[in-house]
Amino acid sequence: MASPDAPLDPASLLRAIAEHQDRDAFVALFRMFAPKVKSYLIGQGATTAQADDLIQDVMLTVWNKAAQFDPRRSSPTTWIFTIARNRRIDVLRRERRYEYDSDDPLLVEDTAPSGFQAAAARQDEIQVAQAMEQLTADQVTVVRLAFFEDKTHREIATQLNVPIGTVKSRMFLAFEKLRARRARAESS
Amino acid sequence: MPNRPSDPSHHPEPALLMEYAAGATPEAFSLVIATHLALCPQCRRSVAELEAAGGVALGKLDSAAVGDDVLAKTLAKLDAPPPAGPAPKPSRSSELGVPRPLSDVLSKPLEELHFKRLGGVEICLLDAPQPYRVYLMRIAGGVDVPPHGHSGQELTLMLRGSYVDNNERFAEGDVACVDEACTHRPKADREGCTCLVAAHGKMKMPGFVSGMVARWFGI
Repeated sequence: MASPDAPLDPASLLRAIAEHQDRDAFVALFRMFAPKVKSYLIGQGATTAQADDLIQDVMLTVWNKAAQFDPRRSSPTTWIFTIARNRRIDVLRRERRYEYDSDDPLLVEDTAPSGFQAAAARQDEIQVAQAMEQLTADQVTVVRLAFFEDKTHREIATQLNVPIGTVKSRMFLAFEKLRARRARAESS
Repeated sequence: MPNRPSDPSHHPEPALLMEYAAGATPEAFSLVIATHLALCPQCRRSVAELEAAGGVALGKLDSAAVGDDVLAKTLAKLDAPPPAGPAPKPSRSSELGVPRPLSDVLSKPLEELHFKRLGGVEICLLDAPQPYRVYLMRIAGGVDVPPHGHSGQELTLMLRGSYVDNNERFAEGDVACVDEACTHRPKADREGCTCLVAAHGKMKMPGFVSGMVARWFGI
């Protein structure tokens, strides 16, 4: 991937890292994502110094785990988002985040057709972005506070000075719009 | 969970799934939600989709300036072996009869754990950061838990058997979400039930005796 005019497609960059530890690909990916991840971490209350340390953590995880990235399951941006999210919980909140194990023998298998599963997991970023454009300002606010300021619906209710039920219904409507997007994607 | 009759019909509220995807869920609740996810393909799809929304939103954030020194420091670490964290533990879910992540926090199968017992209700407290309480609760067949409220939110995941609460039946894999605004009185079906409970704050039972009972159980 040494060619300087190679397209900067994050999925190809991740593949180049996974397949031959391509440093140029890593630098390109770093320049693409580190500024976003930093912005995310600062929004979550990290100091600049903490954010700079955490970026190194997050990007090293990307380097070490590039082979685990599965383009059928998520986009590179979503994958990096989940890495940054999990490192933030570890380091800034000092809590555990429990996750299920997709290889667990007791996991209840998804019997939906695999295309259906893939449609849910491998989001088409354009479609998600379109669905997000459909959200009202109130809905965008609650989603933003949850995703980028680490607030639960209860804390959001306090901050916005509205009843908890109102925050929940805004989250519910945002959730339904994202799902409606999925339903359309599947029926088409 | 052997011979599941069907996928769960009661799910965590959308607000809770959104918080989980965002990473805002308190640790105690994330145990209940993640264990439900192992049992619920539908909620796994919802969380994947909400994470995708998080990814899109990350991509839309303004870029913060990152110094070249940060890149240089990162590059200098690329050749170091990955930090040796604790070795991943093999899953004990089959042995314990409950899926991960719950199986990771239990020392023994559900049936062999030590429960405190009073009447038809048995409680086994698990570790949880304050001010949360996490416990397993067994309710004998036909027994109802005395009416009680909560000082905060409570999530219950049914692991074995079922109960009826406010005219709704909660079966294996189902999650019941209860707020402090509501008082409830779940009643176990004939075969009894075992559930995982995570609550913010303490159970509130009206009456002196019930209050003593809740304190004795440590919930």
